[in-house]
Amino acid sequence: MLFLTKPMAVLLAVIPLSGLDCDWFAADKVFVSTDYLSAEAFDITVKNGVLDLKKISVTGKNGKKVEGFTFTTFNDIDGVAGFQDPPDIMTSALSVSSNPPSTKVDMGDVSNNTSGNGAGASWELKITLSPNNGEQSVFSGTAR
Amino acid sequence: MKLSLPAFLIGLSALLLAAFLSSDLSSQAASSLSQASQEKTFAQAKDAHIFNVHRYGIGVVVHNPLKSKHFSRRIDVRDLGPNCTYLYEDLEPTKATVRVNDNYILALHPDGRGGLTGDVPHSVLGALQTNEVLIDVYHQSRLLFTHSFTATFF
Repeated sequence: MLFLTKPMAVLLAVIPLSGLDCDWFAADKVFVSTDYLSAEAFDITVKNGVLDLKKISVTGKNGKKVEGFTFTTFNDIDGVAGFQDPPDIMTSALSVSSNPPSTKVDMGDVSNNTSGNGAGASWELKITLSPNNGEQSVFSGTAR
Repeated sequence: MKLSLPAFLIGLSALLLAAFLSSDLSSQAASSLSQASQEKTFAQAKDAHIFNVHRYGIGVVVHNPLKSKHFSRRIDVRDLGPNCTYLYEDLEPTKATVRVNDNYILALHPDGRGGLTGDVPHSVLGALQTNEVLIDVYHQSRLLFTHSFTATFF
């Protein structure tokens, strides 16, 4: 940076961030990993509050297989972790399942505003593994 | 024209000072622009970004940097308590470490309320890149989960 002039620096700062008001980022990331599963989100974009994911992948670990999972987005009303309807308002919900259970299950083209209730800022990922003893692995949070 | 040694040194110092100031201002300009864009996007969100692992009843919170001193990222790890839905092992988070771009590690400290807290200083976050930020959350020596903030928070 020693010989970078101020105008050049400003230009460099602006170029990779152009259009940032519309497109915040695009990323492929493992967003959680435990000793029994990992979940990844691919090609994430956020545009004016609308979240789009090209794919969510869930992989079972240590002998666990994936029976399926549901990804729900919602407007959080009760302030309690996770989706509870009522009072929370669902804005999109997608499910996938695998029969027989598989080590890895994918879900494609996810958005948070498919129900006509606006774009939900909160989300919940509910995963059913096999064997599971009736348990479900649930992750939740805010999407933006 | 022959310059005396003092005059040469003064001239050299002036040149170096000008180069330094130019570099410093340039860095600041680039950094502040990208920071402004980043903070603006974050500001459109709620007060915090939250990630919950219901199985263990543990939540990770990144507070809106506009509400933090110098735009640092305050990160809290919380015990969600026994009423968390889909709770199977109610474990207390006893240790958490945050890794930033593989070259900065922050150990969160107890917050006095059964959780952990710490600040990722803004200075360690790259201005012109998506920062890769991972948190490892433990109960005693057991690693419960690793969560990436990269796609959602930074």
